[in-house]
Amino acid sequence: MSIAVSPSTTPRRDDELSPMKLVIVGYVDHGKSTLIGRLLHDTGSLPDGKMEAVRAMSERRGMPMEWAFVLDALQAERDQGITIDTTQIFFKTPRRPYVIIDAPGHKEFLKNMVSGAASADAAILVVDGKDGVQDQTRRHG
Amino acid sequence: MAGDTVEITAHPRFDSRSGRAYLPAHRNHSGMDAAMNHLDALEAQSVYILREAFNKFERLGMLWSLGKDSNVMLWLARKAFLGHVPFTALFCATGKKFPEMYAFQDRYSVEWKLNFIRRDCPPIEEIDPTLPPAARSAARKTEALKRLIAELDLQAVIAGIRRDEEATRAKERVFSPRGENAEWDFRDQPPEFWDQFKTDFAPGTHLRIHPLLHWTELDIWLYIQREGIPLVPLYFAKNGKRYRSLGDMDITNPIDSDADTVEKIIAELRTTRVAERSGRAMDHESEDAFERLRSAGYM
Repeated sequence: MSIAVSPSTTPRRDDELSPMKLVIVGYVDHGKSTLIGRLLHDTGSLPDGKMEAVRAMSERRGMPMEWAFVLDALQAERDQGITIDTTQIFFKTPRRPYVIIDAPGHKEFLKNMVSGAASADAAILVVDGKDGVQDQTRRHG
Repeated sequence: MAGDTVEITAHPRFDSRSGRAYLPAHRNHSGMDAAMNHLDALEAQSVYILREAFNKFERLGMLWSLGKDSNVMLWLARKAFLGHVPFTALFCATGKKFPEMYAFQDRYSVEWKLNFIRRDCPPIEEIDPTLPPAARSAARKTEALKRLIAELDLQAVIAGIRRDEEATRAKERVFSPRGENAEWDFRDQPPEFWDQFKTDFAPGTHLRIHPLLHWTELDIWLYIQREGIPLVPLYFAKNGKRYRSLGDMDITNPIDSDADTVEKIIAELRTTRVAERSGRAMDHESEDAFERLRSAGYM
């Protein structure tokens, strides 16, 4: 027996929901890009070969494994170890899809931070526990 | 959560013969209405961007690479302007595309009544020899596009790139200004807040407009499924292989796959860990190859 199902009653898949947009903000070097890189890795969200590529990039620059390189795609960002421009990446859990927005922490790139943050539904403010609250922590907060 | 329990409303189909379509009144242009179906929201936002582009610029071109994304983009343009694409469809011919792609182009440029312009790319000898081989080959298209922009005196070119394809594309703006020689200065991009796009620039500034920036590969396929958008058959598996991304024959490789229908491709994408552009040689030759291409004006 077959049952005809009209499109309006077909259960919706989780990845057909609109993604939640989450921006990561905070002071420079407090670990925003690193947090996202690590999150993508630990949840198995990185494509095959990405981690090896990041390891090779880090070694070439004489650095330990730099998780931020997953998002900091520009040579200038990798060479200087900072995020210059905001990035949006797509990530999903079994529950729902997310757009994670990485925002630069430097004061001179505030415009790029706000461009990223403007479309966000929610924000994570990253503070380095050893360093404490800094001026950009307050500005982003 | 409210978004989880809302009924999907019946979607008004786009009739590709009559070209009739309408957007229901409840849609706001930025796609922020939580009650909207996800695909409806993506579509509404792209339609808004295309209309904004058409409103602001007289001399517009749209790149038609014949790939899945640019077909979706043309489909959206036909919806946005009631069946008629009001700008020139541009194709930079490398002479190295798959025969299936040229057949597709011949058919749909007529069927969709496109104002279609095709120009040959310059030979590889004219391209920066310091680029790695595949990137140098891909850069032929950048050069052809620059000449087309000059020939047609275009103010802006619409391109179907997406943020989730590639890490430098993830940093793009929807309305992206370019230098005199089409170069992209990623250090000085305009702010874009909500659906407020900066479209006023100094005279002579050239723009790239990206109406699909917010779509994922899976979104594209779900939309192709819903709308029945025609595609080059190379995307569908034959003898255990299919192309996930299409480019020039000599620098594009198929992936292992048995997905020979749209439904199977969607199922494959829900679980795959292979990157979409893994088969595109120019992305992987060296760490900075794709950034160099894009900074110099590649899509």
